[in-house]
Amino acid sequence: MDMSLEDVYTELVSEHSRSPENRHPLAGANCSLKGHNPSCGDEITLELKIEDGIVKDAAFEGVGCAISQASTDMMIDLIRGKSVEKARELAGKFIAMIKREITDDDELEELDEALSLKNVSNMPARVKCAVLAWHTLDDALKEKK
Amino acid sequence: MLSPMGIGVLYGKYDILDAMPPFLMGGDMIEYVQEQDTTFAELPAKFEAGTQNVGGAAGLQAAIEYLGKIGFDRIEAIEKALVDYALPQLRELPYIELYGCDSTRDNKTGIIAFNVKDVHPHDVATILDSTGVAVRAGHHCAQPLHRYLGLELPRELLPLQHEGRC
Repeated sequence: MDMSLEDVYTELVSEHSRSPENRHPLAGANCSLKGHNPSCGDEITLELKIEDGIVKDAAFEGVGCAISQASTDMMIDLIRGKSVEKARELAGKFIAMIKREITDDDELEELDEALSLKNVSNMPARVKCAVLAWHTLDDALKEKK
Repeated sequence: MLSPMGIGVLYGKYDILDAMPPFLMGGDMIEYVQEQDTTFAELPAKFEAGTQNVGGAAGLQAAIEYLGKIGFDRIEAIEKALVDYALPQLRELPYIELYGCDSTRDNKTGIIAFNVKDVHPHDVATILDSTGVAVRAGHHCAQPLHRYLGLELPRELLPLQHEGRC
């Protein structure tokens, strides 16, 4: 537990959660979806600006624990500029990582910074915090296909 | 009370329970079944239709015996000692907010409700867990109270049982 906790609460997570660069209203957003974990109070509103099948820009607003906030912030860094299809693929990959369906680091490498949340898969109580943003993204993009 | 989940006890007066109709039909709760009429098994079988949670019942019995062996007087004394140890120290920490722990009154139970300012309770719980301290973080079935206190997020409860090495 000590090891995995240190791994999860690395500088990276704490940086992303204390001052998330992507937490702000998004001018020109044309897609917005709310994600909520009722049992713990994590709440995010994901805002996307999608043009020609590309996620041109993204941002979020909301409140929650360090893991949910950091995960959302990292996700937005990752999907900005990607195609809707690619963004959904990455969301699927992240969720598969947390569910331990994909464990190979080579395969997960393209998740970039979000790979640092891999150890949340060892913390069952925190899984829903990590995947909230990615499920919300997937739901939002499902309608955009 | 340390038993497995999914099991509990219904405690009631025999005559009243006996007069009550069963709330659920199923295996092992009947006596005689006629075409138009049924009589039911004696208590408690009348209220235990269907497949029993045998593992849960065995676990609950073991939990009751375990607590009985330690003794509730001793459990209360240990909880009180832990509260006497923890509360003054928590009061010294400027980033801790305590609820229902008025300094002029003794805590009635071994539960301390507190908040760590500017840190989400679930992060606090995870970090404390890694050091062997078990707390409960959440709404505690009291969302309206949290809102009344001006707390949007769930808070921690420190039930002092985990440290009570008996």
